Amino acid sequence: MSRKYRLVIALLLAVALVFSVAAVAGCKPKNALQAILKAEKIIVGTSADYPPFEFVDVATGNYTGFDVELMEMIAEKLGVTVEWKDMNFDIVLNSLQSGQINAAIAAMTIDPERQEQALFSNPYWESPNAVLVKKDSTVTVTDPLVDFPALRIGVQSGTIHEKYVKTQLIDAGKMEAANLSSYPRADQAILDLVAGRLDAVYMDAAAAQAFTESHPVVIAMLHEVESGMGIAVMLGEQELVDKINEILAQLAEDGSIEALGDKYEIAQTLAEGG
Amino acid sequence: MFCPARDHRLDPSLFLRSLKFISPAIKVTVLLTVFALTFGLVFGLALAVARVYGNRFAATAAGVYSRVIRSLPTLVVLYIFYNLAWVAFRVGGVTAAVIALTVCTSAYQSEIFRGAIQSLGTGQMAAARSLGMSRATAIRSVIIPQVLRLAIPSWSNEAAIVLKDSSLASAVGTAEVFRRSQQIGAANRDYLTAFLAAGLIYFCLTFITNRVLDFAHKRYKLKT
Repeated sequence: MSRKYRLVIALLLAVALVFSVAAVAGCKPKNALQAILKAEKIIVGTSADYPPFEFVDVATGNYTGFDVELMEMIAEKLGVTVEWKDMNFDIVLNSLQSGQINAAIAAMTIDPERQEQALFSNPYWESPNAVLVKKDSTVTVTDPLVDFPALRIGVQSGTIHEKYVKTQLIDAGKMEAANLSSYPRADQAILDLVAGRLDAVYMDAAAAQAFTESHPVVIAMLHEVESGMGIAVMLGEQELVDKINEILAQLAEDGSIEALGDKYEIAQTLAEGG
Repeated sequence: MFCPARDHRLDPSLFLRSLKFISPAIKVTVLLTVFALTFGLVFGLALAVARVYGNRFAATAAGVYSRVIRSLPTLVVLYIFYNLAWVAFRVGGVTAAVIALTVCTSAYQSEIFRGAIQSLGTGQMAAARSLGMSRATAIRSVIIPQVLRLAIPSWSNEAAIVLKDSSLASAVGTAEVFRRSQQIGAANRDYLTAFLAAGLIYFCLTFITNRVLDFAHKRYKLKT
């Protein structure tokens, strides 16, 4: 009996030791900008499976896309090179928190929950949302708040779109929870839409536009909601985020960001939308 | 009715291009698997010997390790090591993936080898000892060689599992087969084709592995 007891104590101590090492080792001094300039490179995390923001150029095998090019422009202004780290979207903020990457750009919309985990730059792009329906469908949507409750809606899990439907409609009691389906990836929702298991999919307009080219779906309406995308850095790295904001302002002023938007054919506002 | 051919336009040339895009990642998958299996074998064998022949402390520790690790999904172990490995040792994605895969497979392999040791029976050890061998020598020269040969069929199963679990490394950014298929699926907006291509690649890799081990089993099995 006492031997097993000792063993349990020993194991608990070992676990406690590991965690304290982890906790202490995680507290590094905050000076990422200096480190980046010194190393002449910035390590940026992304999830290269989300055209047109970040994806792989099949011909060359390089990362490309709106976010990728924007970050490369920022790095050029900083005088450093970019080292890209690709990973699953859900682990991007985790990598940022642990310090494996200096910054993250992944079409991430700035929202209060994410702001608890990372420090975001000013929005560099404001993308409207789109409601997709199957081609030749009789479903019409003019106002999500009014029309969604009667439909079967699909969203990507972890997105602001999912949050919008949940908080505005389901939690408010206006819509049955069963009418909302969440998918790990946007394309899975599209497949169910095409198969007839969903009436509509609610997602980012730029990505939606891309889907209309390869699947029999159309954009029923564009829905403008406050949703700006930002570049994320580790909490506390104020110097770094200030520098990034400075450069973003420069790029916005000289029209570079708009040119990128044209290049990847994504509209920033409903006015240009289509 | 969902009809893949009509609604999805399965395109053979896209399939071939997907294969071509994913192929360079095959060596990453293979390396991940080989490293994990090898380190897992060494560690797992050591754990099994500790379980059967070790003193009370070693045996309990090995047993607890095995039970705890086998209770955790590999993905959870991976995420834990992804964070721990960086914070403690400043090593990132791929290394964390290899460590996590090794830890998980070592636990399962320790069970495989423990079962093989016990199926040998006590006669072997008794005979070796009576010839004057120390326990260590007996374990090294008599028990382990036979255990390795006995364990081949179960080990072949574990090898296939590790090969498929290597796909989890994609979660932490390792550019192996599964991650590459996600990327080209997204770039071409056709995930079905991309994953079919990945499926073909995994099938071939697993098939080859199992055939090689089947051959090894036939050649090296104990004559009982």
